[in-house]
Amino acid sequence: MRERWRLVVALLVLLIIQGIAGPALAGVPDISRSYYVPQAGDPDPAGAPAGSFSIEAPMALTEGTAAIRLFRMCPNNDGGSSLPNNARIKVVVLDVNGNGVPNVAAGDVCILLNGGTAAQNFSGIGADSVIANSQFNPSPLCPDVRCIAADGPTNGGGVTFITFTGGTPGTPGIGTRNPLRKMGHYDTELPVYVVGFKLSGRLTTGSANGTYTLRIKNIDWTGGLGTTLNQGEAVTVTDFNGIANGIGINNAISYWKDFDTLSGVTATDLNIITSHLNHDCDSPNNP
Amino acid sequence: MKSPHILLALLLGVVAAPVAGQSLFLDVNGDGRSDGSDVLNAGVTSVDVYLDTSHSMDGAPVPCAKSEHPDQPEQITINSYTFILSWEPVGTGSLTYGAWTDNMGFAIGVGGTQKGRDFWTGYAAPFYLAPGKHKLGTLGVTVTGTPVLQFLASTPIDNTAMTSFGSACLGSDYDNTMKLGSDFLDARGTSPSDDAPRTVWRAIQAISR
Repeated sequence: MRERWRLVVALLVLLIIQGIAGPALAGVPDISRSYYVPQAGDPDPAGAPAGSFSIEAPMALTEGTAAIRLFRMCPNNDGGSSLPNNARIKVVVLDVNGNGVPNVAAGDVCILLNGGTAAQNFSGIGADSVIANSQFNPSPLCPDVRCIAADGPTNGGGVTFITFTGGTPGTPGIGTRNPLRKMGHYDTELPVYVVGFKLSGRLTTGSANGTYTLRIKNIDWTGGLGTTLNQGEAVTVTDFNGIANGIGINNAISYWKDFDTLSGVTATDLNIITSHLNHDCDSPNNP
Repeated sequence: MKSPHILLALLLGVVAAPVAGQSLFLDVNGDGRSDGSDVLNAGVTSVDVYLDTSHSMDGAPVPCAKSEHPDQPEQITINSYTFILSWEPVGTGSLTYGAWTDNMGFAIGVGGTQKGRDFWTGYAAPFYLAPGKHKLGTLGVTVTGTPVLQFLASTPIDNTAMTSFGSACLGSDYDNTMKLGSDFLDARGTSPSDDAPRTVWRAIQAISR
């Protein structure tokens, strides 16, 4: 008799736990199912024409390797060949059941930066060699960037975008320059977090988690990691010379000089850096 | 091995000729123009390379086709150039490439090699020159017979080689690089000699002019 009661109580406890935990977990991102994907172009090519970036032909949605080729930036975030064509990641937040987690606030979806290097006394779980601070870059004054936030909250399918140059209110996935989004140098991984959970990257939506790691090359590819002031977010002659002298050379640093991620360091990369030479946090755009 | 080159040259010279775009051409006789008198022969020792960044071959102005600011597009300036040349015997004839002499004040070498009939070179600078017609430089040549020299968009001798120029104009690949074959199609090489055999090549050349 006592055994039967024990069984009934155990079943009741199990039902209660399931009743409580099921709905709770349903709203929590599952890192084994959630992911981000590199994209460019129009996030909704079947919908209305894309916004501010007017070109002669409609932009196609690009995903994977072709999009990664556009992941390069000037510290001034001034557009042109810097983060062109709505370069972005699509972030998909799914729960344990594979359902989208809606209404995750834009500020809770972040590419995390420490702001500077350990040598500059910055620490944390963000990228540790991207320079985005005013402390060591006061003149011209650079903004302090710690979270590159999503364009907006996740939609009903748990989808949002982080458009690198800056989001456009009401049209997620379309870029508008954010003057407070400036940074120099690069890191081998730009971690993407959603409400504290670190996401895996996929090369394409159909790929497996872990097949891609977010990186953004910087035209300011060298210098600024130490404590000398005003070196961290500027495209200088040193950056230019490194490209000019790196053409046709393949070594450990060539990857970061190959701004278009195509055929190594070539004249194309030199053309890109020429268009951003002497740019910094107040030039050509201030802020 | 050369047939893809010939085909590409024909496509660029004939099919694409009517399309507006920057104009790149070879000048043999020193008049700064491209016409039927630009013929290679044994007396020729150099060929000038010209690029008009802002006009097509017929003189029509060419705007920056892809700009982030369509209302105020960037100018089609120039800070670098790269080009590929390839020669064809057209009957009998041969060509040996000599030295390239830059005329733009561009001191940074951005590539260059030659193999077989193909030649590739390029130079750059950390500044822009104004839009318009520029004499890029002069290529030394040693010629026998009456070969024809043409531009190519790519070559198997180096997979990074292309015919292009750097510009403040964004370009179709968002890389400030205007490329033959995508951003512009108007590239004209030398003309065949009137004495050259009546080949298909010569007929097509005549049509393209």
